[in-house]
Amino acid sequence: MSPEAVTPIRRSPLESIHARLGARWRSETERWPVSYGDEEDEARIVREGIALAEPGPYDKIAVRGRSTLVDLRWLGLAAGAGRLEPARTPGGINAWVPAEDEAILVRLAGVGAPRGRAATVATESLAEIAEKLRSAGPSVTDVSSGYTVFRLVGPRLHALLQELSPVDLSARAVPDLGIVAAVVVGCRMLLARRDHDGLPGFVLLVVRDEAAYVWDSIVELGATHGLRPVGAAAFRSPDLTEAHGAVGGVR
Amino acid sequence: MAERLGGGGRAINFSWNGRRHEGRDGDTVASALLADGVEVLSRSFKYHRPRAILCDAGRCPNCMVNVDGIPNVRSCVTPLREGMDVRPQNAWPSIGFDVMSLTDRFNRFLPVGFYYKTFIRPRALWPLYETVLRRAAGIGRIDEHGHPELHPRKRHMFADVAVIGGGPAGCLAALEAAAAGAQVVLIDDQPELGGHLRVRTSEVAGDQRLEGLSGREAAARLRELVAAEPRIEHLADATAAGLYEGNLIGVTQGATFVRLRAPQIVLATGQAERPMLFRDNDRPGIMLASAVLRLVWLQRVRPAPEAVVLTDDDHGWRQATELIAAGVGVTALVDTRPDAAAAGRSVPAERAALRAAGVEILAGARPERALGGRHVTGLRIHTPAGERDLRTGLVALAGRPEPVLSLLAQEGVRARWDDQLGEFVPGDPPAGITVAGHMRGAGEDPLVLAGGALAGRAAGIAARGLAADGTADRIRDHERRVAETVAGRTPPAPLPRPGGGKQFVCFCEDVTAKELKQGIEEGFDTLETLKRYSTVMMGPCQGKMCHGLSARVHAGLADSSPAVTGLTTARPPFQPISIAALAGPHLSRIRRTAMHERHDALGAKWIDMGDWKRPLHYGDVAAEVRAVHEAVGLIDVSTLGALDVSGADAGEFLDWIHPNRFSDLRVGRVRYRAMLDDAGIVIDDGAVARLAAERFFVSTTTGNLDGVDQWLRWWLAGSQRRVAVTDVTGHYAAVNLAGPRAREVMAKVTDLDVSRAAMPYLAAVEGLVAGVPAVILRIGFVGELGFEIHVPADYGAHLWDTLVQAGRPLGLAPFGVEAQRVLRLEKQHAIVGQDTDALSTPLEAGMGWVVKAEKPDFIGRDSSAAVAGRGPRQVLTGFEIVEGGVPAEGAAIVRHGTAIGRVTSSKWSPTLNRAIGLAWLTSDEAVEGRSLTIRLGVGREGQTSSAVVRTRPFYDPDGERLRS
Ligand code: FES
Repeated sequence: MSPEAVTPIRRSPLESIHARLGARWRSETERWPVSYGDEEDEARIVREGIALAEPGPYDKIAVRGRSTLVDLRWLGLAAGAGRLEPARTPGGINAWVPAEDEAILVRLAGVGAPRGRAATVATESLAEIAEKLRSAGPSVTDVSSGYTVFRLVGPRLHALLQELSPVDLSARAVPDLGIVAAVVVGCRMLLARRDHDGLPGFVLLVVRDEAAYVWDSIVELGATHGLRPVGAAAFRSPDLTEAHGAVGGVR
Repeated sequence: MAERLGGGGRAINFSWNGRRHEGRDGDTVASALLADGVEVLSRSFKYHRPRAILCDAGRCPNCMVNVDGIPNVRSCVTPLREGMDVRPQNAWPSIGFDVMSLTDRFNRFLPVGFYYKTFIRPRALWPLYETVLRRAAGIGRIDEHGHPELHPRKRHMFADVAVIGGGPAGCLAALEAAAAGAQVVLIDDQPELGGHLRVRTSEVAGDQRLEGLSGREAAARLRELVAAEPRIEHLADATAAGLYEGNLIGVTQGATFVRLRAPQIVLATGQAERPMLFRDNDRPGIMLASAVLRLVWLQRVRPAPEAVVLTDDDHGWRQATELIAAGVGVTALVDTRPDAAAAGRSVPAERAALRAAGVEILAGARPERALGGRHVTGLRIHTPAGERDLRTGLVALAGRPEPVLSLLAQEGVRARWDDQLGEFVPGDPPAGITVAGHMRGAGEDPLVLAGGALAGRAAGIAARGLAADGTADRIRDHERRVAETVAGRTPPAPLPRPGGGKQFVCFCEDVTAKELKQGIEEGFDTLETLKRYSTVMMGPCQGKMCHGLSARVHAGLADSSPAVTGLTTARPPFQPISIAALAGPHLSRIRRTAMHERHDALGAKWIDMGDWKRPLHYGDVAAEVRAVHEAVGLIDVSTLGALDVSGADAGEFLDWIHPNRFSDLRVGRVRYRAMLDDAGIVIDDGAVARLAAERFFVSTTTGNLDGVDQWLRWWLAGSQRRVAVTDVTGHYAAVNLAGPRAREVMAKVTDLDVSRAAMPYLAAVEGLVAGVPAVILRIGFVGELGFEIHVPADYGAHLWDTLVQAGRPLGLAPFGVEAQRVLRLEKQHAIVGQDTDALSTPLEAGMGWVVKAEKPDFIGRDSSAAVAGRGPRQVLTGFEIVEGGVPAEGAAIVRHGTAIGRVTSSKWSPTLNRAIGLAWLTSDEAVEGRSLTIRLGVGREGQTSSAVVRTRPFYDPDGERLRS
């Protein structure tokens, strides 16, 4: 066995759960589900019930330091604290900025500047952004595997959220693109409100090692609310990248 | 005889006490049983007297039964379902013949406080008493083996305005608050809104929306209005069980427990009829007038064709009229007050109608006793003209209703006795809570309706922060009208002094007026002490039926006034809540590493460590230990905490946090870390690797991460240090590859130079392992050449698979926590938290070398210096067993019967073929070769093992294998 012969396989923390549901993977080396077989039905769940998805994989960097927000503004990545700054182009960077001194930048894995073209903020890799930020002052840490991303969307979401978290997650309390730190099924996490096609929705940044527990708990509590797991394709976006853009959406 | 009104509704089959019965759609369990000929639903707590429907509203204990294995279900508010298995409780051998009902005959041997007086002597018999009492106590039995399908859930709701009570005042309050733009949650304990209007036929007056409608029509109209208002969420069949600080309301709705927060609360919990006092007032067939109306209108069951109505207030006259309208003939109306005209009161408006309906009106009459045995057959009354027996199969009690004040009292608002009304009225509620409707004591329609609407409007305006719109003026005007109305009221007749026989005040605990009298005579003369002595108000209804009555009876017996007596303290819950509903769904956080599925596939036996699942072993601990010593082992150490500490001042900050130094650690090197608190106690340990000039990778013990993270942030808060701490535990999956052939395995999975020269002990390297970016630390906890490899967790399983594949030809075996514990004991490595405690200093725990006293300052410095000055009092040291069994952790070490230490860890070492361990010993005992006697501990009392002290590691004492 030589080290070169090894092809790394990146796995969702829910790989075995997705596999049991019949997942069609994004690729053999990126085990995140595009669908579980019936995309039509999954799209219907989004419109009529509650869809729970783990789109991905995403790369993520944690940015900390007093000048975090200022530096993100300088890079054109964020406007203010307490909100999610959605990507400007498909596959762009979503900036989660819960406070002025901390942020998590999220981007679909494998997206970077297309060859032969000048990099812009929209196309720069996270590594390049990280370098710029580091030179500006904040501390930057790769947390790509630290969190996974869940998407919850559907007309019946409100009642389920009341069971999942003791925090008020209604549209009044958390407007679209608002970020809130909350305990969900007993686990601390960041949530961003991100409606989808006029349907209420949330994106959850879930600590990886709690992901299977959080997923199972949401599925269990959501069953009576019409919740079903769906693949990323259920969001009916023009391409997969944009579907993943659901994490922050595409402006 | 009860009869079903109209044949409608789908048939529903169920069983009672094992026999088949049939009910109808819309029935409650109790109404179905009543219509099908079953009247007695339960036996009372103490005297085992037969009890039947009393309130039909879920407020008393009389109808509690076991439904599908769940005890103490109130059958009068439980909708009937197909196939229900309903059984009586607190009766043996049957509900019809209950042996324990003998206590009713011999009650003179069961005086108040009987238990306290009787079962204290002889003391030796207490275990027997206790067994018998425990059997007799309580109502209902839990099936310990059955698992009822409860599906408990929790909901967290938020609203601008919460309205409690779905009667007319509550509905109007909700509608007005919503009209002001507020989001409203309307809580009602009934399946549909409308409150008492649902069982009232007389016309409603006082609100345009309801003008000219009968009570039942008005209730339907209110339901329509509420349903059409999108800002109102109606919680039906929901009881507000607790009102807590910060306007938090605990609501039970079936198996769901709702926590509702609202800045504004309107309490419109209304009023409720209460029982009246006379001998044998608990006979089946005696029920509240409102219960009769509910049975007729809501469940379509008429308990009897005719009734005698008993009252002490105009309310009884209205209820008599309603009963007639509901199809229940009233043969007599017994009013304990003197004739209105003679007493100078205004004559009730219903008088003419009642007379016309043939109702005999008996004013100034006093009920003496109920007639009949298992069912009431009549009522003996004492009239100015003498004693009379009124023959009837149904006595409808229509005493003046009392405001339901418990929730308000939970907020600390004490009820106030109003002499004019002759009842308790609410005190002033705190800001954010308004009291409306019948609770205010003035029950006239216009006041109730206007009060509800105004309270809702004001709450909506306040919650939304809107400008005042004249509502305040209207409220003031309304308050004046309420006060005037109340002033014009006449108090109900005072309670007569209790006579002989059993006059039940408390139906839950079978407490009679006579027993209260005895209690007072024995010195328990305040209501609070009397409550504890007699247990009045302490049963399942928690005073709902007897609170006000107890206070009035007590005041009468103690020659006092309820104004002096007051009410007892009200505490949540207002209505019983199942523990399952309080606990909510069975959710407990589980953390899994990226290799969890791999361990599962290998047949791991799991152990919970905090929230983490870790493999304890894979079947053969000794083989796992052997593989590490002889070939190579692989253990998942992802549960270790990992922090990224970065910034220009990171090194200096770590120097401050730890007793040793990190600012001088070279990039690419690792150093052991022990963390102390201000008292110099060891609170965590791990490793610090310097990955770049301003970037440190800090590992913590499993389960200690949050504490360390917070500790670091605490010391950073407010400081000017340029340091950022990021928790990267979840980001990394980690394994330790340990054993003499570990290097060979590494060479197969990385292009890095892993030779001893290039990657020596305590090296820290970043590079690709199995094609994945990794942090490699040359450290180990198990005494062999080790590589601790950290990779992004998304690649954890990939790393594991690659290492297993590469290592299999070299004898690689996965090992679990148990083997790790054996291996580390062979090296005498302590585990912080297991081998150390809240008194362990580094000097005493064998980590004295970690304290760099020459450093100018660090957390715990002064305390460490003090310990160094006085010398160690106890020492953590190794021991080996020379004879006897492996002692339990915590086992005492004794010399001449005196404790000289305790075992913190002990295991059988397959390597050494003997038991070894770590123990705290007084410092004078911790001498190499000293003999010890260890008591083996719980389960092996009286047994000891012989051991000797070993101060050096048992295995590879000089660490040559580790450094290889
Ligand atoms: S009759 Fe059911 S609780 Fe009173």
